[in-house]
Amino acid sequence: MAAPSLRPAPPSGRSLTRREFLKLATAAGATALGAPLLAPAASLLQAPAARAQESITVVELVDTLQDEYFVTSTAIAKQAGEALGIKVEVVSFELSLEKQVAETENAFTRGAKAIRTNAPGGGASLNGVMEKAREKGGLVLVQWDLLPWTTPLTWGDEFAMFSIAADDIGGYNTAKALFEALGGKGNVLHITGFPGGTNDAQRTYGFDQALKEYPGITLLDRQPGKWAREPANALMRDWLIKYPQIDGVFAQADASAMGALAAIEEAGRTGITVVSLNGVKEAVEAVRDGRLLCTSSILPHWNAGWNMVRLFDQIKGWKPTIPERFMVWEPVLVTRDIAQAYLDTIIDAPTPPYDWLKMSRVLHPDDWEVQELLIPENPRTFWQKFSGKPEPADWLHPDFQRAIDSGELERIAQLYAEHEGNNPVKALKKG
Amino acid sequence: MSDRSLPQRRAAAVVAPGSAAPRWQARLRTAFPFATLLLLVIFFSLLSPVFLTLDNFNNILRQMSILLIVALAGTFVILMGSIDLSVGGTVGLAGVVCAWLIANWGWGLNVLPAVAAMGMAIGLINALIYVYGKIPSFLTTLGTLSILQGIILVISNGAAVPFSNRAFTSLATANLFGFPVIALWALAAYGLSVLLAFRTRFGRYVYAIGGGEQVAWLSGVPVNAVKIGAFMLAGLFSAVAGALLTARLQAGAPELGQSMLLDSIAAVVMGGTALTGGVGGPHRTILGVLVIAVLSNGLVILGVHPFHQIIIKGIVVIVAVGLTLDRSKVGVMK
Repeated sequence: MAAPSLRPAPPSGRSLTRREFLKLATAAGATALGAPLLAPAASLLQAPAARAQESITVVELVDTLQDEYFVTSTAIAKQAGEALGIKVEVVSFELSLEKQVAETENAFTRGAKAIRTNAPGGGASLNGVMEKAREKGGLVLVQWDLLPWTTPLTWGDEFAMFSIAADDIGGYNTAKALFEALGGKGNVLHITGFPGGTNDAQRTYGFDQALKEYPGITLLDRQPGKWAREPANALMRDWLIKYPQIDGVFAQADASAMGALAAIEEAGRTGITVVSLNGVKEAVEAVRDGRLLCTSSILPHWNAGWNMVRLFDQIKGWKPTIPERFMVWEPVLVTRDIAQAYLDTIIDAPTPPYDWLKMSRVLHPDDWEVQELLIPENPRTFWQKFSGKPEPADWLHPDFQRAIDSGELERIAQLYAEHEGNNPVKALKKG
Repeated sequence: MSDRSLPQRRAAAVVAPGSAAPRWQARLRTAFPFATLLLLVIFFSLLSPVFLTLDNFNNILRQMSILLIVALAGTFVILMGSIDLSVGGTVGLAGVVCAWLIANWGWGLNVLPAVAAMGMAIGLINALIYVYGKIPSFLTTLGTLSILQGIILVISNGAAVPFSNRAFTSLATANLFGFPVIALWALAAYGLSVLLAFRTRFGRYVYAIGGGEQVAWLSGVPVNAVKIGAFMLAGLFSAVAGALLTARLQAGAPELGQSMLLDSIAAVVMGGTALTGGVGGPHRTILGVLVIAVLSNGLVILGVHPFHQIIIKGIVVIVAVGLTLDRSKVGVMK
């Protein structure tokens, strides 16, 4: 199988007295809470400038702000919102599904026109979120997770769109890069995210597809790293003891890869190649420095902004076709040869590499440019690969079935290919 | 360390006069955590040839070191019958501050005393609110935890803060004559805690407060000062744990320390320290930490499915506490 792509073409001994202890403790305590605490605390008081002229509010309802991906995507969403003249409010539901539903209601109650959110846990919160959206008449755009065997049409017109990176391709390309670097043979470990999510299933699927093509590669073990650094670090430590010969590690997230890398470096083990997915700054720098072989970027610097443009267009009255409500985009494999350019052009670019206004179907009805390769997804194929559950009867909305049967997906794919426009990531790969 | 130490006998007398279990029962109960540990070690050794090796012994030592320091941080507070829910936040903040100072300001080993002082200050603030504001420690530290998490996000902007400083990293990753340095830190914290508990008036007062605060106060124990000391100690240990964790991971990250809270409380209680206070002690906390570390390590080494790992850990926590806790010394079980 060729590398897949979305493109149409391919202690002391002395006893301490209470008085001594308290003296020491009080003296130390008096010097604490200095600059590291007070400086950031002061910044809390700096309210953002009021922008009374903005009449459209969109709420960016994120899983957590303790994750670099979400922090980046909220910043990009705000950047795009500013360009479009809409106000973007950021709210975190801290991975509490109950809070997500409550914050959805809050957002629409205070006048937000739309929310952009994720549905962690395989879309468990979607019924609650969509119920609030229907009650209040707001739009919801969802990324990363969806209830298996559903599409946005399952919930009605308020569900603006589901979009996700084609991370089966990201997983496949990343795994393939690892297996090739190992010469097609060796022992590999797989650190997953946490089982149950759509995106985790995609990445694991991609890894497994690549694994089938390399009979010389042995999968030693597979355990969850919970998308984070610390659990992956602990896991890797145990694996380093258990397996005397490890040649490669496939980590489902950059943070997990960095945790594993720290364990490997501490153990002094060499010759272990590590790869990951997400494409956050720290990982891209590690690729540049040769610590990671590669990371598959899910383009956080593009997708949040593009989502804002999509919501802006729909709020302004533009109607998407059915295939445009279930779309995937192509992740990009950041290898050492493009890592510095990726940092300079995308992550650390002094000016945004994307023209948000040019993406708008309302502002540019004829010459809109999506600036990335985006294609409509066939939901049946999607869920057959990633749901892990048998296909139920009559699950697909008849309108979506008609769109598939009439070839509308292919027509929309062609349309978006024609309107890809200036894609800065594509330019990097060519350069 | 005998389970019949003076502070515990005093505490037992205050809490449940006349209800102390016979000596053989107490000895048996003391032996239970060791037995649990031994059982786990035998079980994993039989099923995996790599479990009982020097390399894995050092690995378990490294894995348990930070949890032990955090658990010790909570032990004195729990011994008083209070609780500090902010330990995970202090671990995280110390980690991010260390990384931030090293990465942006070129600090080196001097970050350690700085964050240690910061940890003590956090403990002091917790204690002042709790003691003089008369707000329950549960709520005070829950609030502080939220504040600390917010400060972590402000400093880190939600992203990891990587750094490169070999001297600082070696605090947690180096070996001394083949022995992990990070384990030496944990042993030092353990030794200091045991000394404080059993060789200082502070320790005896902690037991007295946990056994019965009113009685302790009437007996002339400076209750408020002891509480302040215990919370500052918790802050100090948590901050040191955060610095070591960051040194080990070579980066500060907002999520660091979040899993520490429940694990550390489980370790303290599994070691035999009652949440109601007055019973147990830091000398036994290490047993709870060992059970958690050995179990986590063994399950991964056996390749047990992650879902099953979670179930097994829950069962072991309940069984271990059931076998370990001396209920005859706990007047009321809440």
